[in-house]
Amino acid sequence: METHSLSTRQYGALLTASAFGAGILTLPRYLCAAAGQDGWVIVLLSGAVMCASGLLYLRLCRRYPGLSLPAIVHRALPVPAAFLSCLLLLCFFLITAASSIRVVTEVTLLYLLPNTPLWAVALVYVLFILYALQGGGRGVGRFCEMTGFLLPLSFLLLLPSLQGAQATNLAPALTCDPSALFSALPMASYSFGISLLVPVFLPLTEDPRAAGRATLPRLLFVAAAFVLICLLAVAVLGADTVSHMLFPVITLYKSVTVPVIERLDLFFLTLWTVLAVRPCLNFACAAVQLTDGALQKRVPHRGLTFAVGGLLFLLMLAQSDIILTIRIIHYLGYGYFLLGILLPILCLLSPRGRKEPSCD
Amino acid sequence: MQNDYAALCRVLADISAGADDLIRREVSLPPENIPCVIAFLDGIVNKELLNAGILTPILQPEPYCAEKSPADIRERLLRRFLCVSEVKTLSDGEEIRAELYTGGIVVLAAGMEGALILRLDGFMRRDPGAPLNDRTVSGPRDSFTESLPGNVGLVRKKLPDPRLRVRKMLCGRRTRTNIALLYVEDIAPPERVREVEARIRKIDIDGILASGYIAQLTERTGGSPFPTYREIERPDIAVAALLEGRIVVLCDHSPLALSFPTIFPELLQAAEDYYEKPTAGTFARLLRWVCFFLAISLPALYVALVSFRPEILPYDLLVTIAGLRSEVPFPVIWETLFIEFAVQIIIESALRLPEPLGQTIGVVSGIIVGQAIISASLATPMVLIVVALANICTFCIPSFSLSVAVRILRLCMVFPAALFGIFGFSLSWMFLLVHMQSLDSMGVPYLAPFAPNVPTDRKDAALRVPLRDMLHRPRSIGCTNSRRARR
Repeated sequence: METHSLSTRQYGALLTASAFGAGILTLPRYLCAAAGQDGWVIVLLSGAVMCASGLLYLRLCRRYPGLSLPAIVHRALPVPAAFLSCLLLLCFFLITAASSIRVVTEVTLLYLLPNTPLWAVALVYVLFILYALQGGGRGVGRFCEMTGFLLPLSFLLLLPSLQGAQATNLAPALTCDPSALFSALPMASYSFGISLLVPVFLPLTEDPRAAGRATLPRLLFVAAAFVLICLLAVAVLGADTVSHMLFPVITLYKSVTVPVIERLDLFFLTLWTVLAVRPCLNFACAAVQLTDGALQKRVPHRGLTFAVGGLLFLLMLAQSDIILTIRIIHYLGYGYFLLGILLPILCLLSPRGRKEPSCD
Repeated sequence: MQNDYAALCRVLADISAGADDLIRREVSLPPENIPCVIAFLDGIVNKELLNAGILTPILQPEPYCAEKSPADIRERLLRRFLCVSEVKTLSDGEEIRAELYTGGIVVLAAGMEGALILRLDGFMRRDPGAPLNDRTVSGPRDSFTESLPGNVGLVRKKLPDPRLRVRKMLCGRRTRTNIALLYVEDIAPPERVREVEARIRKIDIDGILASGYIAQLTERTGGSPFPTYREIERPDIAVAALLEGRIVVLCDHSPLALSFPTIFPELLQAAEDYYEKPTAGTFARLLRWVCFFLAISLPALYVALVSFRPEILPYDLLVTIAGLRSEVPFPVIWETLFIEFAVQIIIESALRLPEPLGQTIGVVSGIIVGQAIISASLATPMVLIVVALANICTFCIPSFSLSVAVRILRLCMVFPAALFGIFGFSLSWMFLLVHMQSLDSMGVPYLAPFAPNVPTDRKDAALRVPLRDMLHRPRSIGCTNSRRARR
């Protein structure tokens, strides 16, 4: 794949865009089921884990400047461990992208196209992702940068739902069993998988130092936004109701009763569709970049893209129903702990990595 | 020397065998009566100037007669042709042939080495009148013509900067069309100048008939309908482009200049934006952006809403549409496509017909045929309004190439909207955005300053800030001298 450098702004937009998709659509349901009205605490903890993971990867990228993630892992770990890590990372990106597509497809079918076959809608999404991937990392970064204004817009459109919020829905606060919080933590962490994108896209930036500095504020913003959305969902709909809803955030949009806006719920849905397709695209791009880095440009970029697209479609169709998809999403959280925390720690502590001089 | 003269005469004889429009005049140069031949092609030489500037002086007796050396004969002839500004000497038969075919007058004299080539271009040329498309109320009203030297002169007159560089080259194996590359040396980025020049030099085609050929042959955007160049009809816009660090390409026989690199927001800008107050300029620009969106979206949005989600429409409007629709035997997509095709046919026919007839066609088709379609229940008045509005929005786009792209995209958008409703419509726009951001013009991203984001360039993109605040040239172009004004 040809070098597609990203500007710091594009890199930041890419990180932020990757957070608001399938994860945020399904997360409040799971949190409320696990910890009731205190579900937001899990988000807070997961956010802290994500920031820690991001910082670990930043440190790793600084130690091996200019190297792609597979190259870093191969320098730091023994060959079998490095190969296994790359394979796991690839699986994580592919399954995350496929599950995200599945969730977005389900939302589309549920609210927009109830009579259309699932495969047709999913195929349209996969085709879009394939088309967007032709531009490489920079193309995807530009797309995220260009559609970046949709995020504040979507938050603005959520604000009217505040009129239905009840503070009593959040009470009593902090009464949940701490063991329940910690047992739910790995699964909730899936939604914060964006820290795994840091080592994939950071080496592609024009100014990795500036991009590195921009990483933590972005991660903190994402964590704060997630906490606020979860709080809003519980405050407006109540923890019990949220725990039985498939996509509470969509219901939040539909709960808006402001005249005119109420009539345009379709446009909110369309807006979320666009927002939610970006993480699918970004994780698919990460998969292509990772494979590309691992194969060291021995396979043409277009061929890789089509292979990734085909895999995504098959993985998406293999999920028999949305409940299974949500279950997969939650189990991906454990994978996130393994790859987001354990892998960078191993690479940083590895004696092989310490011996190697930093290379430009 | 006699041989040289005889050989060149044979070249002329060769040419005349295949060109009946070659005029060959044999005269004698007084006082020794040296045989001379004057040859030119009829129609592309100004005969009045030829008579006054070449034939009359050549036949005038000369009081002083020097030796008959070859250099002396050329000198004597040149002294006689003082009133002809463009004179050169050639001896290669092929070069002489090429000059003759491009409007040169060949003068041969016995004893003279080579041939004198004089230029008195007399091809019918029009005066620089008002531009056809990009008209302004407050701006200048001159426009480029089909004459390359004239067009270069128009630019030079407006930009008498010694650092304005004009690089000429020939393009087209058979047409040998003159191309001029204009840029300001200390503003235009050298790598972009090299890129444009290299792409033009790479062109290998038999004929270049208009600047559109160069635009297409230098593009690397595959099958994209979007133009990555700007066609300029007015010298003031060309000068503005040069001052922004762009490269302007002028082509002989074409009244349109091209500017490279071109970014998308530029195609929605007009000269008037800068000649009026910034509020007026910004308003006009925003209006054009809205028109661009509506021109592409209106029919698709109508199809998506009526076919999939009519409940979004206000109740009264919905009832009206349902009432009208009940009399039309076709699905809404066919109805929309039918009207869209009919309107496109009318536009195309009006463009090809002479002006008065074109206007008549517009009135006849718009009123009579439109009324007949409604009466025959082939379409609802609502579709007619939607399609007509979309087409009117298309005419608000200043760039003709972009408006053609919009016409095509409008038709393409209808199909996903009919298949997937609002979802298909929004996804089509996403495809479009991804496509647009993948384009570049001579290495500059097409959607700059939005993607990639260049905040300083946004002052002159969708908005137009006051001129005193436009302190820098577009950063996305990468000018060598970025400062254009000081407070």
